[in-house]
Amino acid sequence: MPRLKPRGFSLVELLLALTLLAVVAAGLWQALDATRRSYSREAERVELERTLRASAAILPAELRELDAGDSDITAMATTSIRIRATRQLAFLCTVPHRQDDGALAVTVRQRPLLGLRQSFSAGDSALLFFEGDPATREDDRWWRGRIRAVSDDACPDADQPRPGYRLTVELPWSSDGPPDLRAVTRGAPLRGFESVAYAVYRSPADTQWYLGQQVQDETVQPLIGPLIGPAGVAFAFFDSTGAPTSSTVRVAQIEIRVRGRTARPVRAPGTHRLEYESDSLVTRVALRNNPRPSEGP
Amino acid sequence: MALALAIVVIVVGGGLTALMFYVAFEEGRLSGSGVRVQQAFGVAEEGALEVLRAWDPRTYNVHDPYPFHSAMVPAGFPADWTAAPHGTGAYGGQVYKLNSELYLIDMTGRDDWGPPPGASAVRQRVAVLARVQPVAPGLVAALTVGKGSRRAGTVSIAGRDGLPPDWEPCGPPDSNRVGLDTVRGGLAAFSSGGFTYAELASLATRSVAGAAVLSNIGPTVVDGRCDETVATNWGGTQPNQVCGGYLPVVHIVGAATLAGVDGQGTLLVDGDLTVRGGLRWRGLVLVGGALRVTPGAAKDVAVWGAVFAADSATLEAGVAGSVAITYSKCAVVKALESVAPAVMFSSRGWLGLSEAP
Repeated sequence: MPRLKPRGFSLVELLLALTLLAVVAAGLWQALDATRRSYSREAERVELERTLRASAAILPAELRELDAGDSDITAMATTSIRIRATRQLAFLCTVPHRQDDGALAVTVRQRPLLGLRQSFSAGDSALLFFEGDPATREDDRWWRGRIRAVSDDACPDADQPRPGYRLTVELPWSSDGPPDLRAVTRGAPLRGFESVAYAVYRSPADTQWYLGQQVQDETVQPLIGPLIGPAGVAFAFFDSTGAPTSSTVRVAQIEIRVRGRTARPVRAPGTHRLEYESDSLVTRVALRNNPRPSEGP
Repeated sequence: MALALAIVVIVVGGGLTALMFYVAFEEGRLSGSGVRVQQAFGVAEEGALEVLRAWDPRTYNVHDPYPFHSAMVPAGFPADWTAAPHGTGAYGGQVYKLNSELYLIDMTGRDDWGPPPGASAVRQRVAVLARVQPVAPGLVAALTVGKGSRRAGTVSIAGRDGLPPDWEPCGPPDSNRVGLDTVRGGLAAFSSGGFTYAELASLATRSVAGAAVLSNIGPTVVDGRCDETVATNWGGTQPNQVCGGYLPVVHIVGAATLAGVDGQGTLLVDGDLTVRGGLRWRGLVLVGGALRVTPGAAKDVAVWGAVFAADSATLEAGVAGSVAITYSKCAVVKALESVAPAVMFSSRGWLGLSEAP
């Protein structure tokens, strides 16, 4: 009787193959899971780094333009600062004239109009450059006022009229009376600004801590975060000698320390514990618009 | 089955690994981008300050203000850029003359990254407000002569600070000066706003050969613009008209005779100056020899500003004409502002701009 040739696997072979498969699959799964966790962690870290870099871009850009000597810092503390932030830079195309009600009527060019905002609105604040006597720099001033009304106007240039904005500006005259309008020249700059506060706050939406931005009295908006907590942002203020100062008008440099954290807890390598990762960034900004020593007369 | 499982795992694992590489690459790119932004910002700021440091009044000051004139830096911008020192990048921009005193420097810096140069460069832009170095006229008279003067006819020499017709005020008026000064040595006594005759001559924007009769001098407007290339254009006299902001420094090398001149700025004459009537000038007139005004076909002579002559002055008005030299601080200041260097505003002279123009 012919013997059948053995076909297929024996039970031992099958068990061996399944065992090997299980071992390989388990190893691969572990590697896969580690890779996935690592990716997830790295993605969170990149987001954290982005947050920190955003803080290094946004805050210094605002703070550089301050003139602390002219009270651009209206309040400052370790975790908050309120400033007058420049939003427009425009140029007069006519000499101003005083209206019957005492307000100043000025016309500014629509081009060039520099800054974040390309128009003006009633209620905006403004700083108008008073040249004074052209023979000296000592009487150069920026006068602060409020724009009461805005309308389209034309700049009466010699060849053709060009688009402009007519601004009615209320200037708080000093006790000496209204300033000499001969001190304001055609071409003089006018800066528009708004009051902006930066402070650490807790978002009611996700209960995380952020650096919030508040424009005028509007609602606080989250700007940078999440942060590690109420100490997630620390401002330090220094005068021109590099010494710490608590006087808002003596600030020459501002140090910003931002401590951010990942939005979600991540698993650290080699552990099964989930925790937030954090990082910090320190930037020091020199205020560019502080009063400069006079050169010449 | 094992093979299928292995393939699935390898594919998924490979995908995740690729994502990790991508994340790491992005992280590196972002990090590098931050550095490049800082570098471009530094270059832009350096460019603006370099324009101030190397300020050339002949390029920026003498022309009509914006919107009629603005100077590119370098001249071929935006096709050409100026390399920043130390190879950190390149900068270029525009200088706007806002009025005779104020300027805006709009500067873009780039980090000069990637081939071809500049194609993928990061750019940052800043603006700086500048004003000319203040010039205090420091003059004591409308007419200062070295060797006496003679007058005939309707001649007025006024030391009271006056404003040329149609000019806007430029700050508070000066206290009264004397009309005629014959004791200080004439042109030798000239020093105003920190400038001497020789310094002004070195800054001349128009040089004219002497021994000539110069007539029909006046503002030239072509296509609504002040044409400064025309030799007979010595500036306008109406501040709000085209050429009204053009304040040249005219240097006549030798003696000259003027008969019909309408202009402003600084007029330097190395030798004698003869005026045959018909002169309207706002600014400074400095004469290295004698000044003679004689009646001519174009009758009136009117100078607002100040006149200096090294030698004597003879002022004769015709029967129907007049000669008037009136001290004007504004006219002198504006003439000197056209040769003065610029400095940054003493406060609020800096503005960060978020994007390239």
